[in-house]
Amino acid sequence: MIRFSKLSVFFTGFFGLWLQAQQTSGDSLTSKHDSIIRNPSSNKPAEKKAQDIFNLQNSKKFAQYLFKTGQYSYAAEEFQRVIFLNPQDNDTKYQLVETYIQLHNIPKAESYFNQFFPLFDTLPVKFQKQSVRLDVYSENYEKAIKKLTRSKLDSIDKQTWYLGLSILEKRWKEAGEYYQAHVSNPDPVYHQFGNVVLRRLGAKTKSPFLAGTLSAVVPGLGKVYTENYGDALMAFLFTGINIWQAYRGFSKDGIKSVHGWIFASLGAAFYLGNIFGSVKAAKRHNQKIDDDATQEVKAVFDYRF
Amino acid sequence: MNITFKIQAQAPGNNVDYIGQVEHVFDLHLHQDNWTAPMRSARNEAEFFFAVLYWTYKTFISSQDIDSCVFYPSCSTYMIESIHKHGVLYGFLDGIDRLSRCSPFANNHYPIDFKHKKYYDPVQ
Amino acid sequence: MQLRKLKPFLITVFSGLFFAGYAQTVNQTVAIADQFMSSGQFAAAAKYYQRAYFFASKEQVPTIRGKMADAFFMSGQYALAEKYYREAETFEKTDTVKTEWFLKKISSLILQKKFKFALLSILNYRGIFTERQTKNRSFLLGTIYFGQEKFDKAREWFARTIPENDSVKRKQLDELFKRKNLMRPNPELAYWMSLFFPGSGQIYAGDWKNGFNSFALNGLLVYIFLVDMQNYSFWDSFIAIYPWLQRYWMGGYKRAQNIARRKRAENRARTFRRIKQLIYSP
Repeated sequence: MIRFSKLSVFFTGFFGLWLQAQQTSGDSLTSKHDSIIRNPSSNKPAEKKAQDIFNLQNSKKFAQYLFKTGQYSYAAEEFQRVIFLNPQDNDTKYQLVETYIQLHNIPKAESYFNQFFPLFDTLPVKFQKQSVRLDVYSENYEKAIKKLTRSKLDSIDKQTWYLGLSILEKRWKEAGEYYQAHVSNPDPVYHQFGNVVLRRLGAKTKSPFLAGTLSAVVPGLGKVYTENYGDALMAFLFTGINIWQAYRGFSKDGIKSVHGWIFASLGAAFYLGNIFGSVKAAKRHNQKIDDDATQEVKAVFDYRF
Repeated sequence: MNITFKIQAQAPGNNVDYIGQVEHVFDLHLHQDNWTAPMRSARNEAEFFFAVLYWTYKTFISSQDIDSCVFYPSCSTYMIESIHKHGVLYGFLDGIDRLSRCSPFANNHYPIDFKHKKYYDPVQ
Repeated sequence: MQLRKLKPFLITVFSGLFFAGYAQTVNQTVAIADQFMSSGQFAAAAKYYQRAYFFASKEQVPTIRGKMADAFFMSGQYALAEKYYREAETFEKTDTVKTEWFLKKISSLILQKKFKFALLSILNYRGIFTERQTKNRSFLLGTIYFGQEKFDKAREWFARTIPENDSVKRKQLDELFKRKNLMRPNPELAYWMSLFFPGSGQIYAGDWKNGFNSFALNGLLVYIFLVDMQNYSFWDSFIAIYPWLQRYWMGGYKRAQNIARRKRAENRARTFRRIKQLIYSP
C-alpha cells in the first residue's frame, strides 16, 4: 500500500511538471493542435515569409487540405485555379476529377477528364484506370471493357477488372467460364469476384409469367410464389372483400345496384393490380439477386481500384 | 498572493451582435407542401384528371388522416409519379399494387428511409 | 560563365519582382475578408478567413481565428463557430475578452439547441465579467431555461438583467410571462375537444380551415354510416364504414394536438422576441 502511494506521488509529480510545461508555453499546445488543420510549414515568424498565399504552390497545398478534410466543392474551385496557373499539372487534373467523383457529379468529372486527356492510349496506367472507373460510375460497361482491352494494365489486373466488368454487365455464364479459365490468378479480389459469380449462378430465380398466371387463378397466389407472404394475404383480402360486397349489392338490388358497381370496380382494380404486382414482384426478386452481386463489385470499384 | 486580471472592454475582430442572433432561436421554419405540381406537369387530359384527384385527396382527405402509410413516398404520391412516368394505365395498376402492399406485413423487402422513418420504395 | 552561375539567382529575383504586383499576403486576404464581413457577405468572408488561417503565422493565428469564428457564426454555421470560439476562448490571455469568446460560444450552442450542454458550460465558467457581459450572461441563461421550458427560472434570470429600480420594465416582463403567452393554446385541451367533437380542437387552436375540413369529413362519414344502416344492416354499415370513420376521427384529434403544439411554439417564439426587445431597449 505504502509502496503504491509512493509510486503514485512520483508519477503525479511528473504529471504536474508536464502540466506546468504545458501552461508556461501555452503556444506549444496551439501548434500541436493546429498542425492537424493548418499548414505545418507556416509556423515561422511573420516577417521571414511575406508569402503570396494565392500563388501556385500555396493554392495547391490549400486545395489538398480541403480535399483531405472533405470540403469538396471548395476544393474543386481551388484545383481549377491551380490548373489555370499551371496547365501542365497532370496530378492536379487527376485530383480535380476525383473531387467531382466525390461530389457524385459524374458527368462533370467525365467532361473534365475528356477535356484534359483526350488520347486514352498514350496515358499512364493511373489515368487509364481512372478513365475506366468513370465509365463504371456512369454505367457504360461496354465502353469500359473496350478501353480495358486497349489499356496498359498488367495481365493480373486486367483479368480482375474484366471479371468485375462482366459481372456488372450481368453476363453471368460468360463470367463463370472466364473465372474457371483463369483460376491461377493470385489476386484475392479476383477470387472474391469469382465467388460472386458462382453464388449468382447457384441462385434460384422466379418466373414473372408463372407469378402472373398464379395470381390470375387465385388472387395473391403469385405473391406466395415470390415469397411476399404478407402482401399475398393483403391482396387476397382486398380483392375478396370487395368482390364479396359487390356480390351482396347485386344480389340485393339487381344489376342497377350502385353499391354493387362501386365495389365491383374496386375489386376488379385490385384483381388486375395484383396480377400486375405479382409480375413485378418476380422481376424485383430477380433484380435483387442481381443487385446483391453487382453491389459488391461496385463497392470494390469504389474503394479499391 | 496578488491576483490580477487583464480587462479589456472590446473583443478584437469584428463586433458581432450575438444577442441579436439569439433573438430568433425559437422561430419556426415551416415548409409548405406543394400538391399542385402534378397538375402543372400533366401531359394529357387523363393525367390531369388524376392530378386533380391527387390534389383533392391531399388537400381535403389526407390532411385529416393519421400517418398510416408505411412507405416513403406515400402511396398517392407514388401513384401520381408512376402515372407521370409510365403512362396512365401502367401507373394506375402500379399504384393499386402499391396500395395493397402498404400494410404492417410489408417488411424485409425494402430499405429504410431513416429521415422519414418509413420503408423506401420509389417509382422505378 | 559568371552569368550562367548567376542565372538561377537572377531568375528568382526577377520572378519575385514580376509577381510582386499580384502577390496577396495573409494580411491582404484578411483585409478582403473584413470587407466582405462589413458588407454582410458572411459566407464569402468565412472562405477567405479559412484560407488566411491555413497559411497564417503563429502571431497572426489568434486574430484570424476569432474573425473566422465570427464569420461562421454570422453565416449560420454554428457548429464550426462553436469549435473555433472554444479554441479562441482556450488560448485567450485577457480575461474579459476570454469571457466575450465564451459568451459567443454559448450563443452558438443555444442556436444549435444544445441547451443542456450550454447550461453545463455556463454554470461551470468562472471568469471575469464586465457589467454588459453580466447582463448578457443572465439573458443567455434565461434563454437556456426558456428553451428547456423551465419558465419560472427563465423569468428569474431575465429579471436580473433589468435594474431593480426600473419598475416599469419589470411589470412589462411579468406581463409577458402570463400563461396566455406561453401555455396557450393547450395541446391536451385541443386533443380532448377534437376527441369528443371533431374539428373543435383545431378551431380552438385557431386553425379554422382544418377544423371545418375535419368536421365535414367526419360528418359525411357518419351520414353515410346512418344511410347504409337503414338500407342494409348495422353490421354491414359497421364493417364498410367504421374503419374509415375511426381513421379520420383519430387523425382529427391527433392533428388538433399537433396544430396546438405548433401554435404554442409560435406564441413562445413571439414572446421570446418581445422579451429580448424589452431587455435590450434603451
